[in-house]
Amino acid sequence: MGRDVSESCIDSLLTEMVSTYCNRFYANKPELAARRIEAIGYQVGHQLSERYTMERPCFSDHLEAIKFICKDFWFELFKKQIDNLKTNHRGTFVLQDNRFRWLTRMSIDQSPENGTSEELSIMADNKTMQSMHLYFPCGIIRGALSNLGIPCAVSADISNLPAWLYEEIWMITSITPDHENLTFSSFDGSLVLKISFDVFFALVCTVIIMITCFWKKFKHNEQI
Amino acid sequence: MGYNIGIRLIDEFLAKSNVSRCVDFKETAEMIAKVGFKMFLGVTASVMNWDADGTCCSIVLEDNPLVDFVELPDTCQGLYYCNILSGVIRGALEMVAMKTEVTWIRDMLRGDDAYELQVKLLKQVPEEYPYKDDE
Repeated sequence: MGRDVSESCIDSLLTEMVSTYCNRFYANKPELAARRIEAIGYQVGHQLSERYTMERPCFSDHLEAIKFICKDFWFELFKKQIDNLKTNHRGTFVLQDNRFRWLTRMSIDQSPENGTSEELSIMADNKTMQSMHLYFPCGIIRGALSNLGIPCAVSADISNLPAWLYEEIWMITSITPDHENLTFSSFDGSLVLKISFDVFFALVCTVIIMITCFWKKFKHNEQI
Repeated sequence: MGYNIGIRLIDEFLAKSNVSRCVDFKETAEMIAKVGFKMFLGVTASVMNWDADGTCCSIVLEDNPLVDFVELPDTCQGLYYCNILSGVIRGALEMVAMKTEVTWIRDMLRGDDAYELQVKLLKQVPEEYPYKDDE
């Protein structure tokens, strides 16, 4: 179905997109930049999931859809499947990717030897930069799932081993029915991508449809 | 955006393609069309319409993977969808000491029959070294 292009193209494009939105379009408003990036991801995920499910029958339940995301969709996007999937059987799913392809080539500033406050601020910067790059894949997954009829919210978290070994990225998606439980898991500093399902479909669907329309409008306005 | 991508992509291109230094702009353009596009987008382009000085040419793409699934809606008729490619070429050439101007002449999304990029060499910037030989 697709054609081959170099992987560095997609890496460059994503890096450049994040950099443009964070540094040029929304220079001092990282939250707005994050939302725009996530919205772009949403559109992409929406269209990609339609393309990848063209020949498949409808999914019978949420678990089937999540499994599709973990296996086929993830494979199409990242050339590998999800390494670990956990669920609490109440709408929370945790997807774990030990080596997230789009971030494998990302370097982080080494923390200096002296001064813990400097270390903390550098680590905070690292985390912010990395989390900016995660909004796009979060959006893709949210878009894909919403196209499969599952309204959800997706968040990501990341954990790094010491940089001198290699960078291991855990992407964990969890879906919780309860918004108060949207805390990151007990992995220390692990990359947790959380998807939260809302049990009350009517309210959530309405909100999501409204937001989608808004974002589509912004996207059209931006393309002009 | 394309410019920023191009200034990095040139490193990868030179590292992977192992080509020797181009003698003149004509060879550069051929290199971009045949090797560069093939390496990154998987398509070959052709170079034509050289002007008398040899500083301006057209790179013609029959096939553009960027626009495989794309149709411009009515609200976006003035959009140069593939302008990122012109930025990439401009950025890449600037990193190898050539200041160029890259514009789209023909664009299939706007109803033409092929994709044609005009690459115009403005000037060659001699390389400046940050150190002096006699120090």
